[in-house]
Amino acid sequence: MTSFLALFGVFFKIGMFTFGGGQAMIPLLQKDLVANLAWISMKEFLDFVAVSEITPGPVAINMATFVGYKLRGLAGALVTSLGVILPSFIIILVIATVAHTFRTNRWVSAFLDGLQPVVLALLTYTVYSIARGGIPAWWGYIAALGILLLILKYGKKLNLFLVLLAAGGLGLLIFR
Amino acid sequence: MEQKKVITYTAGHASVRKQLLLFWIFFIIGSFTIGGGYAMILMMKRYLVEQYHWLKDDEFYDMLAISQVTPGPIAINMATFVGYTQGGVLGSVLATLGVSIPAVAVIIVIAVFFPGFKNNVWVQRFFAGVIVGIVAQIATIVLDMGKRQKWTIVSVIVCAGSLGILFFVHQVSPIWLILGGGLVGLAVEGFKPHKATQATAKKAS
Repeated sequence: MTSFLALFGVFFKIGMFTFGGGQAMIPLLQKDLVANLAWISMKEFLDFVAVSEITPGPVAINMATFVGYKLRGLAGALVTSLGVILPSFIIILVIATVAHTFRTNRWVSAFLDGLQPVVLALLTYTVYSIARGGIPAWWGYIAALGILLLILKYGKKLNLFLVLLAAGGLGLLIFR
Repeated sequence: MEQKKVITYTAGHASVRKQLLLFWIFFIIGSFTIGGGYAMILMMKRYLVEQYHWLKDDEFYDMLAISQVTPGPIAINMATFVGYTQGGVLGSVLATLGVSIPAVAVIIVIAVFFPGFKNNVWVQRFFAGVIVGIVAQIATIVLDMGKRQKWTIVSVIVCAGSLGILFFVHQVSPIWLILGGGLVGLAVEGFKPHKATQATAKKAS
């Protein structure tokens, strides 16, 4: 039986060393959990990824919960989730505490300004990769464009949660 | 004391009501956004910048940039950062828990009660539809960022170059692009001669 400490350790390490968000963790998780430790099979892993991508919340936490639950039940799920959350939490807390003059330092400021166009490129690419992986037919793209125009036209008056629910309803109707 | 364009990230102090509101906002954001942290950005901006005015536009995008250069899920980084600036350490704990609890709860419910969840055709269709909405929301953020970006020759090249690498070079970790962009920013700043002397003067004084 896998120990809680081992569960915590693996997810803490992954949370500590993956940059660029939860999606970047998927290859690392695969290497550790499937190849190195053999805690879960490749098929289970792919199933977990598929479910994590269509359930609410950060994919990394969904994955951690899945693996923890599978190996050690409810307590395991809490341990792995905490493991993957804690590094982020601690690092940001340290930065936020020491960084109260962030924008007053010209080098930090220049660094942040310099990486903004990259963030923009990353987001653009995310739109592409989510659309390609998740929209099953061409009319889905038309619908996405329509929703985009709605958001741009009605702005703050539009409730974004209702937009998602309506989009889900539309999905029931238009996707076969 | 009102300072222009100087953004300070200090621990916020908040009433009990605001602490609960922090938890609740991040709980709602965590409950409804499918497809990971990027999908949450537009909703976070709605709440934090437009509805409650806790953050200014610039502050929000700065925090987003910092969340990208630090390890871990972007949603957690954002929640911790915003929570800390609005409600101190307690605020950061509450916001982080708020955004995490739905992700944990939904997976446990699925693992216990609906192991065949993702094979249901109606579930698949519904979520394909939700993804359509998410794509539109992330595209909205892209347009918003594009509008406020100061477009210079350098930033156009950095943005286009990053896009080229993302599309044509597979398996590149985003952190290298982000660090590259930051270094370009430093280089540009380094080549501004008169400002450099100002900074040296400041350091000496």
